[in-house]
Amino acid sequence: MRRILAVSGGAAVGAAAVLAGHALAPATGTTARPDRAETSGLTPGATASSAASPTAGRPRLADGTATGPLIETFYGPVQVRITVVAGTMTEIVEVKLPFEHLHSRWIRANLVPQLRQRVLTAQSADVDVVSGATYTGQGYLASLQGALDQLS
Amino acid sequence: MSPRGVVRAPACRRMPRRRPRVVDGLAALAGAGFGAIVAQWVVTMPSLTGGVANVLLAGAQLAGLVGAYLALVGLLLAARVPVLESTVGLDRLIAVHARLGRWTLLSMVAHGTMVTLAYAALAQTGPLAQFWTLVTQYGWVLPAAAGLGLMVIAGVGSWWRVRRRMKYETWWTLHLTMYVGLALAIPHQIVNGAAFVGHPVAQALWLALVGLAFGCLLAFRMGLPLIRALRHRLHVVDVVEETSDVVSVIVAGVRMDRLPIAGGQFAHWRFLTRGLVWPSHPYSISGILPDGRLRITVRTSGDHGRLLRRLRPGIPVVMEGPYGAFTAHARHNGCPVTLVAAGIGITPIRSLLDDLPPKSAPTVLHRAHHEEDLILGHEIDTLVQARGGVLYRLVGHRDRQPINEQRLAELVPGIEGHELYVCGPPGFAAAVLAAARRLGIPRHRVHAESFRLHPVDSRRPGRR
Repeated sequence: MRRILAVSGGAAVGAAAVLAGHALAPATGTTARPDRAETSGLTPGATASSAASPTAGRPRLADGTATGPLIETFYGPVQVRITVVAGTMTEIVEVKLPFEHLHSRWIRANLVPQLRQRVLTAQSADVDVVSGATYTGQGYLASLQGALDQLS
Repeated sequence: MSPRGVVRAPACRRMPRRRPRVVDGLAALAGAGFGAIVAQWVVTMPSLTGGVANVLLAGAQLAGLVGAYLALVGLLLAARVPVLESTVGLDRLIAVHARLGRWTLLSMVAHGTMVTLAYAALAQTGPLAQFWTLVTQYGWVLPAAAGLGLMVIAGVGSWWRVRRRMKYETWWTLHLTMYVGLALAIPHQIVNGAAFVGHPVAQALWLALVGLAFGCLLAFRMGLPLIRALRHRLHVVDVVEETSDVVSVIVAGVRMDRLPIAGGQFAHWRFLTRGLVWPSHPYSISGILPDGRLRITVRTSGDHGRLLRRLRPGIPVVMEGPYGAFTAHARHNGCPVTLVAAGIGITPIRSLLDDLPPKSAPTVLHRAHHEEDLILGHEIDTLVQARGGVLYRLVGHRDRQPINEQRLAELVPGIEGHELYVCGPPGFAAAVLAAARRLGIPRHRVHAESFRLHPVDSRRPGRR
């Protein structure tokens, strides 16, 4: 009985310590901390079209398609292609995403769509990287910026 | 010098101590690790709203983390950590180890299955194709899958239904692959695990735990026995015929007063002669002679026991141990002592009697099928008399000489206030323990030693 109390008490303390550690860690180092196994494994060509939110006032983008530069990230190369219709970015295709790591498919299913949505909403590469996909996300945005520059 | 007759333990012997606080502390630490692992999972798991694949993946990650953590705890339980050996005792540690083992393997198999299914769902491929992708394309997953296979095979071998059909040597060797399998499974966690990739602190702590577990295993199961064998230069000095099928082996060495050992403990023995090196066998210490020589008393009906008859003086000995909390130090202050043994189970009780103080008045119940099976009878008699105690010899088949609660209460008035030590075959030990429970003896005052690395449980018959 006493031992069960010891084990469960310990478990509570251990869990609290880890949660506290995570709560405190961003306060000290928010910027370049890759939060999660970050990676992405899109089989090349996986596309994601999305209804563009027609945010007015920003664009000056020429219509057409542009492929951004290939950006080497910690986890592998990242490259995106964008399509602009009527001055609005309507589609982003991930031409290349790293896929060496086990979480590639998870990131592909979860984080890349989020990032894509943020970019389409903001109509710019100036968005926050999705937590958990820091390296891939930075590469993604860099390649995207290159593509945007081509169409400006 | 004959090992018979009353012998006293050397006065300056190092004794193991009762340290329940330490055990509580370690239990809390184990709990803390578990809590930390689960919390780390909560922080790093995929969101559960992303469909069935995400839920599967989250479950797989939890199962993997819990399985790996339990495996490392199980490893530590079996690593013969001295403080655990002398406070909890090997047989109870192994019982917990075996119980944990089942959950460990279940978690790990669940992990592998769910990871495969989750990624198959995300990639929209079949489970087999996905499994192939996982083992061929992801770092260290192939070794991990192979390791899991090894662990499952070794785990099935430890299932009592399978194990009782195996020779001890076969099982022992098979169980070694468990360590190999676990070692193979470690790297893929660090390389691919969501809880660890990008979390340097978690990685460092996890590797420290892995290092601790394997380090303890190597240090206490290989290093320490070897160091002791060399330092004490243990060797056989005599083999004494006790009865037609029981022999005693006397082992001597140098600086034996530095060996922490108590009456009632046992060790895993290797004799460096053909057939007795690999693997080791557990035998109780049946006597610690005044000059520090150790004696084991063994039934020679088994394969291994028969070989012991061929031992000659001078053969080097490697001893893993001593282990066990079945000692006089486990006794609570002032409690009268009752010791119950069946057959060869008298051996640890014989050496434990040495450690009981002169006026302790122990009650000894010694059961055997035949008169000649009452081995060491004369020594027991002398020791009990010298301590003002009583010895009951119960000879006959277990149906005619049952040791149940009526019998215990009748032979030992006021037994519910006693410290009870039980040693014998698992079925016997389980029966006496059940009787003790019904008599209302608190669990912390009941000490049992069953000879096998088996939980004391009557449904699981031992091998010998």
